[in-house]
Amino acid sequence: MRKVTSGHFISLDGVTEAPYEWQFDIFDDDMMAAMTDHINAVDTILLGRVTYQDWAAYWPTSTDEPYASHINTTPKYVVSTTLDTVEWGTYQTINLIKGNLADALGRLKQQPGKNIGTAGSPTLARRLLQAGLLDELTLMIHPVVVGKGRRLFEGDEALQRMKLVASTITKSGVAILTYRPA
Amino acid sequence: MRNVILLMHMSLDGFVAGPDGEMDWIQLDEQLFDDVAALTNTADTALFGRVTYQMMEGYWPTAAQSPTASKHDIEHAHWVNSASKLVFSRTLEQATWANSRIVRDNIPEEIARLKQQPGKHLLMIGSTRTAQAFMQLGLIDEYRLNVNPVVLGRGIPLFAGMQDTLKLQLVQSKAYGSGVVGLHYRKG
Repeated sequence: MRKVTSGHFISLDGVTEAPYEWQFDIFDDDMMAAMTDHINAVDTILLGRVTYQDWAAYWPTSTDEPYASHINTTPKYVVSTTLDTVEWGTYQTINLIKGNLADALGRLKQQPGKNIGTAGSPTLARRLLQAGLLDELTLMIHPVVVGKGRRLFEGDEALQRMKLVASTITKSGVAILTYRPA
Repeated sequence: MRNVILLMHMSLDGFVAGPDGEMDWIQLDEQLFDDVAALTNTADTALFGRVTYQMMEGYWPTAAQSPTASKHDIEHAHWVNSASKLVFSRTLEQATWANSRIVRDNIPEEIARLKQQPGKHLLMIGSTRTAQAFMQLGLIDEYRLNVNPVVLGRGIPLFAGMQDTLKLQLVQSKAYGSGVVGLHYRKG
């Protein structure tokens, strides 16, 4: 059965905004292997509105591989009730989920395929977790306290117990922890 | 070299206690207790803020004598009762716990002085507000964070008031059967 998954670059103090400002030399072989595994496990991407608007302006013309090909050619669904249309450069791989999210995800999960993964989109990830729609949450905890910036968890969520399903660390000190809701 | 080590149990969303100080969500299995005991054995000095000190002062002196004392209570009581205890406070009037001393100001100088003396490590467990002050002063050498598999939603955050980026080095990580992940960092 397909899983809805969500992975995040996150600082030790929970910041997910602007990772390029605090990732430093984190992209070692271990990290590249983890990113590759992630790309290979997902064949459908979910985006929140803000991430969609940022990324649609960048990725369609980017040559940063293997990420550009992955993100441009993989079917994407933007979750938004305020947008009417979505575009992704000249690619026809973008769709909009405006209505009931649980129903839309239920239909996607019934189709054969790999995992359905969010990219960026911390607000959407939070919403999926709180709504019981997230099967797996992966935090790539970087060895840095950033202090400022938006966080994955805003401090007003309901209590949610989780179960640790995998943990590994990279040579550069990122702790990659995967949880599922308990 | 004597290090200042901070040990904290933390939720996945970075809280060290619920909004009213609740700590019932903290998971402590046998293996974790043993690892905490091994850590305390590397320290001979315990550092406290006033709030934690006052809670501990009322509990540990007699904890080992209680008929329901667990093996861990007895071990930890022995360690903390004999350790040199420093409480960082301007308002606490007296520290009645044996082998305690109040430090009212000049914290960086006091810590530097202690680190020059021979001895084991200095360990702070809990004491969130004091831990934050120490972090901001750059006085914490090692972080031992036990990340619990729970999103608390609301509570008292560990990291607050950090003005600058703090780079750390991950020394070791350990996943416990309970799903807690111990992350051991040193200053980068």
